[in-house]
Amino acid sequence: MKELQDYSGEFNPDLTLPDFSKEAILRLLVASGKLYLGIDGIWTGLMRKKHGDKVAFDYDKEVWFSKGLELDIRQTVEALNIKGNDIPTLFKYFQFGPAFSVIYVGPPPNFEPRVKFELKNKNHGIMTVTRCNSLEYFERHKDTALQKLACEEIDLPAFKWIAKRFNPKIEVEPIKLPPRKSEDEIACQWEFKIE
Amino acid sequence: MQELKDYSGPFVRNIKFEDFSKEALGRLLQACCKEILVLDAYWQEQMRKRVGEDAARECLIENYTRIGKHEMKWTMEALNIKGNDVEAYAKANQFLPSFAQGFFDFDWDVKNKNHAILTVQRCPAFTQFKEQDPEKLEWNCHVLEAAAIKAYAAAVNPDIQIKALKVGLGGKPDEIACQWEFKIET
Repeated sequence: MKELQDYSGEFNPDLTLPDFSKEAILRLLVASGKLYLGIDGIWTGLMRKKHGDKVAFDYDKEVWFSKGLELDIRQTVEALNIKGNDIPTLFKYFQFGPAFSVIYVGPPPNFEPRVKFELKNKNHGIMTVTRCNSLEYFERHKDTALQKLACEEIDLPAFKWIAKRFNPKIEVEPIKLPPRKSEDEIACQWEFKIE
Repeated sequence: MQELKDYSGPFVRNIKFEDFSKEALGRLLQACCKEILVLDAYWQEQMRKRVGEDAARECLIENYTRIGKHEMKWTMEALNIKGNDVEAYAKANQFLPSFAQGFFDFDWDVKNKNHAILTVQRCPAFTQFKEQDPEKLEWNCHVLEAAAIKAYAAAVNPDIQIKALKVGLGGKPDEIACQWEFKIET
């Protein structure tokens, strides 16, 4: 069977993922990444409505830090056979972790990454998020509370937590965090280092 | 650049998704689908622990009835699935991340564009709750799934009628998980 570019044709009861082209699978992957964070967003939103910001944000943090991040790392490194404990290994995970880079891409067919990695050496690297869907959502809805939760209370400790999970000696510092003055600015930038 | 089978090699600064083989991307997609379901379970666990089972269930229903239209839209856009009949719904349903092949075993019998039967042979929740928590299973199948399926179908066409043909525990050792009929009366 010829690879399908999409599923605009007739229903086929036996269709499986390998029947699709790589680009179609990629589009599905991006859709899945959106759903992944979308479910978390809806849970947090429900909690905010029912129990207020503090309780909701506490729940969200506990979901991610008790099990969510561990799951994300395990699933990604297993799927791509990523091994090691240095900065390049950590960056390899960041490049393809569903909770992060998968949704930070441009439109098909190129899926241009919106997270850039500059590896100075095995012990030092800079990660730059040029465009962030979440930040754009917060800016659009003027939701400063949620932006602070995501960037400062989840991302900052999450990057530290993830880095330590690869190697306890990795130190993480934000070089730039939101809020932004204009849409031309990058979203955020982080430095990872092993002294 | 030759297609990568995995990412066990050195870090590549400008690596893109398309640099990987289809199989590697498929594995990544499967990983993401699994994470979606597990992350949701973690939220339920948190809720149960902190505010009780009833609140957790209430939120679970609201979660899936709200995300349904987005998940259908993203999936249909990703695969360029157009239309608002039962066949379009079945096509999107075959590739929904939260109903991923491999985690669920299911089969669609599309009788015509406006009539189809979905049979779920294996469902992780059904397998887990059958032994551990039959009451939760009944709620899951009769209340949550019924509400979620309705919301997902309505995202394609509010006129799609859904009938549960087999839902919940039937008592047979090798029973299917569930079976649903989808129809648009013409």
